[in-house]
Amino acid sequence: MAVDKKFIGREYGPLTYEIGKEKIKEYAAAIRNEDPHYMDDEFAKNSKYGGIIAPPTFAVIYSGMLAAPFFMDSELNLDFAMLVHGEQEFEFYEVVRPHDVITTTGKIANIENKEKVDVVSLETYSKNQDGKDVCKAIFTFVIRKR
Amino acid sequence: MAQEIYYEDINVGDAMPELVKGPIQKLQHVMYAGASGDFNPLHTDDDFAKAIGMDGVIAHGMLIMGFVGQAITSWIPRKYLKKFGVRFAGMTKPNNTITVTGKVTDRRVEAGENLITCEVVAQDENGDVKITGHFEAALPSRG
Repeated sequence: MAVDKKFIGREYGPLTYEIGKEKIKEYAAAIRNEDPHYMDDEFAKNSKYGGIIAPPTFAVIYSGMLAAPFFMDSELNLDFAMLVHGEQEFEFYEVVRPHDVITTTGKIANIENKEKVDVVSLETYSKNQDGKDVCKAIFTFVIRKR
Repeated sequence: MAQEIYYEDINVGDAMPELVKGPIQKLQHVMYAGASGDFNPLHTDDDFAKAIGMDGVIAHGMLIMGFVGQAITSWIPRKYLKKFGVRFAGMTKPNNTITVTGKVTDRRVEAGENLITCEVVAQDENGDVKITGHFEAALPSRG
């Protein structure tokens, strides 16, 4: 069954996420990204950032939290077995650091009903504890029709 | 690791330094699942993957986007990166080796910012495309 276009504009959040330094290191290690900006305290302290920062794609962790209430929204009736992550976009503003408290809100930005697939886009907006923008993200999911 | 980079030093057609990742092991899928919180068993459980008609587990698309992000911020300091978007074009399987390449497609001064746009692609050892994407960065001027 197609995802109903009436859900365009439906909002989720806000959800908050506190950035952990060891979580950043764990994420960088999983990518096998040895860039010391993300893992080496001593190096990072003397960098232009003055400490460890999060790599750009770490945004999927704090902004992607909003995917949980979206996926679990039973009214959408998403067919998980047929769902794939089709596209991902980020716009970056402030650099993210350990102990930042990120608040993310979002909405269903678009739903397209095509012949063989539905395409659903979730747009999220994340701010830090100072109210400054850190990231806008668009998660686009493609759901094949059975 | 990214060194300082200036707008004047970048030309349309310049290549981003290539990054080779892998071969990817299933262990890395597990590490990525734990680090990211994405526990979809399609990425870690061969029995589950086979039950839904796949040959076996596939990597998280976001792991491959993470490789592309690594390639970018190994070249351009993180704080200059403004936009980064990808399309997931193909599945990545265990033992694939991923090569990330890119090139500058545009440079312009806009609203006082020195912007560059680059296209990026991630391919496996057979040339099969996993990700196509683009990014935009605002660079400092030597001026």
